[in-house]
Order: sequence, then C-alpha cells, then structure tokens
Amino acid sequence: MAEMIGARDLVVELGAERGLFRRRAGVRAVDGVSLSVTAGETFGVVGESGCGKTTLARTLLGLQRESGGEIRLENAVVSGVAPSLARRQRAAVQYVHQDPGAALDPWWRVGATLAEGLRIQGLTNRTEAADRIAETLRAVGLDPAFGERYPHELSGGQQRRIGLARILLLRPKLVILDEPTAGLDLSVQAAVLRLLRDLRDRFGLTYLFISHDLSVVRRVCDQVAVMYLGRIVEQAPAAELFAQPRHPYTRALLGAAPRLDGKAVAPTLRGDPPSLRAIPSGCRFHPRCLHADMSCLEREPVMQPVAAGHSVCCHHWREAA
Amino acid sequence: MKRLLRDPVACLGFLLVVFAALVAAFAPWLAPYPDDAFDSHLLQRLKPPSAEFPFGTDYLGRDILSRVILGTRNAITVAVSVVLAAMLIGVPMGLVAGWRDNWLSDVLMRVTDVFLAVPQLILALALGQLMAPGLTTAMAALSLTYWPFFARTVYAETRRLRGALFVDALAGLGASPARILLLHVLPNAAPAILVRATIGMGFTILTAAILGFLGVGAAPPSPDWGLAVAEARQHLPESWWFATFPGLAILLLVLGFNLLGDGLRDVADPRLRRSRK
Repeated sequence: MAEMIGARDLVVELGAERGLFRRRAGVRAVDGVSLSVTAGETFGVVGESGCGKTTLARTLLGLQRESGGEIRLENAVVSGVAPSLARRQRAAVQYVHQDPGAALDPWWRVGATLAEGLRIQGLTNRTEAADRIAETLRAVGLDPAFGERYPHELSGGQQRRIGLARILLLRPKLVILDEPTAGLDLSVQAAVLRLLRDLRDRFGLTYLFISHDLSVVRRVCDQVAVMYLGRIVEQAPAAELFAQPRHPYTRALLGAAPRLDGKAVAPTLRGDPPSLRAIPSGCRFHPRCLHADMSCLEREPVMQPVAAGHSVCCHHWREAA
Repeated sequence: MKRLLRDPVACLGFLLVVFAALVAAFAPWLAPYPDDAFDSHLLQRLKPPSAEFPFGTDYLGRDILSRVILGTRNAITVAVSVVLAAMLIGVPMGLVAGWRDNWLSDVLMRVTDVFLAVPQLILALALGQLMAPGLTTAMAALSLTYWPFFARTVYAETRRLRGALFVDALAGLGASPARILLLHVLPNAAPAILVRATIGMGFTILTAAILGFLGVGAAPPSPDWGLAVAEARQHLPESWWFATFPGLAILLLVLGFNLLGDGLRDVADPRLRRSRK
C-alpha cells in the first residue's frame, strides 16, 4: 500500500523565544517520532494530555516548524520549509480542530466561513463556490440553509459537521482529526463516527485520528500509535494492540479505562506525567513503571519489533507480558 | 444595542451625543442669529439673558446661544477628526505589533510607550509655538498624543485573538496574515476600539477646549467654546452668562461621550456585564 504521510525522527521544539530582549530555550514536545500512515487507513494516536499529540499534528500540517527530522507526503520530502510555504505545499493535509465551535469566527456566518476557504485556495467564482458549499453541507448531513446561521446558533454536533464541511470543501487527501468526539454525548458521538466513516469511503480520505478516548480509537482505527512524553512507545494494528498490549504504559492506559464490573484489568498509573522541562533519564517512563530497574534508568530503549507491524519501545516487554 | 438602552445612564449619554450631533448638523438653521459667528454689535454688548437673547450676549454684542450652537459643529469636527487620525495611526500599529513577538513588535510598542509618556498639553503647546497656533495645529497635536491609546488597545486585543482557535484554524487553511488581521482580528477587536474611540471623543473635546482657552487652539472670531470661556474671563463675575453657557456645553458633551463610552464598555465586556446585574 502507498504511504500517505510519514515522518522520520521528527523533533519539535516549542516555546523557544528569540526577541529583541528575550532569549529562552524551548521544550521538546515531540522528540524523535517516526511513523508511516498508509493511504486509506485510519491511524490513531493516543496518549495522555500534553504528550505531544496535538503538536505532532500541527507539525505534520505545517503550522509548526519541525526542529529536526523529515516529513514525507506521498513519497516527497516536504519538511524543512518555512510555515507559510509549508501550508501551501501541504494543501492535501487538513486539520479539524478539537473544538470546532471555537474554530469558527463568531462574527461570520457559517456560509461565509466556508466560502473563505475556497477563496484562499483561489476559487473566486461565486456560483461555483455556492454550489460546492451546498453539496458539501449535504454530504455532512446538514441542510444548505445552515450557511445563513452564526456559529453560536449551532449545536455541538452541528458545529463538528461544519468543521468537517469546511475542510472537505478543499478536497483533502489526509484529514487530521483532533479529538473528534470530545465533549459530545454518546448518541451524537456515534453519529459523528458514522459520518466520518461514510466520508472516508466516499471521498477516499486517510485519517490521522488523535484521541485519548480508547473505546473510540478501538472502534475506528486500523493502526494505533501510543505516545508518551513526545515519543511513540508502542505501535501496532488496533486489534492486536488492544488484544496484546506490550508496553507497560499501554497496558496501564487500557487498564485505566473504567469498567462497569469494577474489576481492574491492569495496574493503574502512578502519579502524573513528568514535565517536558525535566524529562527522566533513560527510559522516560521509568518513574511510573512497575517493571523499571537500573537498566531502564540508564539506557534509553529503542523500538523493537514484536510481531508483524507491532513494535514496542521497552527493555522488558518480554518479562512484562 | 438593546442592552445599552436598558442602562439608563448610558442612554442619557447616548441622547446627549445624538442631540449634539443633530445640533451640529443643522447649526446654521437652528441658530437664531447665524451671522453672529463673525458680526459684532457693540451697542448690545454683555446683555444678560432675556427673551431676545436667551443666553445673553458677549463682549462684542454677539448672541451667545447662536455661538454655542455654531460651536457644536467645531467641537464635533475636532473630536471626530482627531479620533479618526489617531485610529489611522494606532490601529495598524497595534495590529502589526500584536500579531508576532519579534523585534518589530518590540520597537513599535516602545515607541508607543514614549509617546504615551509625553503630556498632551505640553506637546500641543510646543507644536503651537513651532507652527502657527490654530485649530489645525491643535488637532495635529491631539492626534499625535492620542494614537498610543489605540495602539495599546488594539495590541492587547490582537494578542488575545491571535491565540483564538478560529485564528489558528484560518492559518491551518492557509490564510495570509493580512487576511486574518483585517477580516477576522479587526472586526473582533471592533467593540474595544469603539469604546476607546467614544471615550476619546469626550477627552479630545475637553483637551481642545483647554487649548482654545490657552490660546493655542481656535483663533477669534471662531465660535469655539474654549475660546469663549477664555474671552469671558475678563468679564467675570458680573457677566456670568458669558462663561457659563459655553462651559456648560463643554460639560454636557464631554459627559455624554463619557457616559456612552462607559455604557459601551459594560456591554462589550462580558465580565463586567455579570457584575452589574
């Protein structure tokens, strides 16, 4: 299968300031991430808040400039350029925000916001734009009359559909979905996920699905990567990852999901994730890991294959399993 | 707008401003003696208020009511043009400085701070000495000292809005900074700019009147309010009406703009909105 987007040893440093009077070093929000997303699949990225999921997405999109490593889009290297150019180069990649309501300008009617994306891409013909907007609104299950509304007049589910329509208009190939189901109740969540699947089939999309809701990831993703403090610690096909998690962190995450019968399936995580400003030595998970020993403290583990398409970044995955 | 009308104090300010604007627009037809802006009638000088001259006459025998009415146009023209000029300088500077944290932003804001530190009256007096004293000089000086307030307001708003998700989403779609700033940040900053402009109007009228009083603003025989108060100084306290009515006009118009500005600010700021209830 052809690769849609890929990254090798991607490093992103955030918050480095170079003002006239200020100078400050940044933190590494993404620290050596390699991944490869096949065309047509749904690739899930999971991890706790602050693990670098959103930064990874913004970097792949081109909004955030990488400090090191390489990004490939359809087998062409697209990294190493300034953000303004990067966005134009990567028009095939689009991003749906976590809170699509706040992603709409409150002063603009929804229709005007939708038309603006087309105008930015150089479509100036008004009737053609109006036709495409009506068509896309119908594709996401909304009446074209919604174009006349203001963002605050829409419900959460409707805002999400508008957020999708906004980028579908631009005919993307890869859509990055940042927490697409956060803050929705279960019935709306199911409807949005169904819509996402329909749209993927209809427009031939590839999804990069960022979430911390494991039950949703399990349902929709083909591949899943688990991130911890800016690193991918485990990656596998979704079915295998949920059936046989290898990394202690993955297991703890799966165990942390609440269960109705009250039984814990795995030991839960201790403490909070450390700050990005003070990343632990060796394996960055060792302070919270049940299997940690001296080697974890001293040596940084590397990605090792476990099975076909399944790799894990841990010294002790064999004993821990 | 509806919320503004529910606030009686802001409503009063709004009415005062609208009334002044109407008077200014129709001044030549409203004034009982429109020629009294320039004609003098020495035989009827310093007459107290009567049916013929409701506000009395000044030291050249001119009807004070007519001159107050004719002066309204002057005051409002000065206020509007000074505020517009200040906005033309301050708003773009605030937008540019607020958009990115770089050396340009630092330079612009330090320049703003320097201008903010110069007292308005002193700069106006200095300019008046350098150039010919007159209304244009006064207006130039006021614009030069008022724009930093706009630059600061817009700077703060731009900084707030550039972190907003919808700005991020636009950047994600590939929108240029110019498009984002002019079509999205500026409209969202408009309430704050409007509030600042309204309060600035009142402030400008007051300062322009002070300049007129000090002799750096409007020159005789212009029917300027501040100038009228200055001329009346020598005839106090006997001819109290000469100073009182132009002064009252200044007071009411400034009060109107300030009350309206306060009301607008309350409407625009949701945090204050809650505390008012």
